[in-house]
Amino acid sequence: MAQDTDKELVRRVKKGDRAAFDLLFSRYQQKIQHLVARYVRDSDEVLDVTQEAFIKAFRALPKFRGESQFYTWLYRIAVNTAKNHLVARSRRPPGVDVDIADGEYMDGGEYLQDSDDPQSTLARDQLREAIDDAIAALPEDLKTAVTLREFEGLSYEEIAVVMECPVGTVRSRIFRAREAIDDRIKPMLSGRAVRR
Amino acid sequence: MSEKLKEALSAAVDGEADEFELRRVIDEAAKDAGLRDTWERYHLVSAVLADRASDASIASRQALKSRIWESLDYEGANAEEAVAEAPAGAPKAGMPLWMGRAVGFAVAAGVAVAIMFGSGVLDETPTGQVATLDVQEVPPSDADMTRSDAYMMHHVQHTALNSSGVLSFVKVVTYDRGESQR
Repeated sequence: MAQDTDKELVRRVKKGDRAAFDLLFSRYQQKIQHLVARYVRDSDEVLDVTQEAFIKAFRALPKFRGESQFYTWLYRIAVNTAKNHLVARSRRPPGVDVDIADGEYMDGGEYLQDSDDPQSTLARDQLREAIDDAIAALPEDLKTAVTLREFEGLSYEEIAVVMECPVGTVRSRIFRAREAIDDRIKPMLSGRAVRR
Repeated sequence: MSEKLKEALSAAVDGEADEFELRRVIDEAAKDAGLRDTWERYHLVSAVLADRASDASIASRQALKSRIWESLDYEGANAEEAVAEAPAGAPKAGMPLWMGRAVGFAVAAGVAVAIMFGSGVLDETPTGQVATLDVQEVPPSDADMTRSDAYMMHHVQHTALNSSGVLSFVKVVTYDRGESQR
């Protein structure tokens, strides 16, 4: 279960493990930034609000009792931070509220994409292209496993049923697919300048 | 970084690692920046495939993490500084609570003694000499009293009409009683 990973990471952060918070950040940064972009259009402000949301989450984490899922709790913090930001800037939040539970499925990246400069957009598109190429070049069994996981969100057990193979095999196939994709994108990401 | 560990990392990304593996992955990630980077890229691929990644979010991921830690560290440093600059009586880290209270009591007692000496409470020399100089008490004339009464009545009426609460009415009543006694 995905929340087990979160639970363990949260437990570690509460004990003062900074690396665990880094892992949580990496796990949710894209999602939170995407969610914030639903409210805030300016890309610099999106960064500021995302930063503030994670800082608030870090401060509040000792009080997080785990009664709700961590990502739901984090999304709520991000939404409230974004709304407060708009109020502070005397701007109204979007009329249609965002369902926290559906936050990760929302389409909100267009705001950021619009404001990106062509050079950056090219880089993003290149990244997507490299991932697609890497998946297309995979052996069929790896491609099916990673596609069912990444695009359909199936669990390993469900994929095992679909592919009629043991769960351990599914796990191995997904890992090998990820390795192949990672080999392709790693050089692109390591040389990228941080835009700020 | 072994293949087995990386496979466990991949499973942990999907929430499919067992408890033992998960703990091992997190333990190793705490020590191994390369493992943390791999974790980040695996999540990034998921975000890109789900169209949840923007270029800004991709480009800013390291800077954002640094900014968050800088901000948290700055707060932490300020909090430590605040503890260091706390009043002398405040218990400090490593100081037993009773000792902190004792120090606080000693400081409070010292301040009280200083105030008593400073204000002349314990000084035997009278400090109100100017006030006790002989002053001739001259009874006011009737004209002075009439003018004073007029000023006073005007003042209390104005206060009663232009302020809230009952205090101003109390003044009027008090004044009127004094007036009737005269």
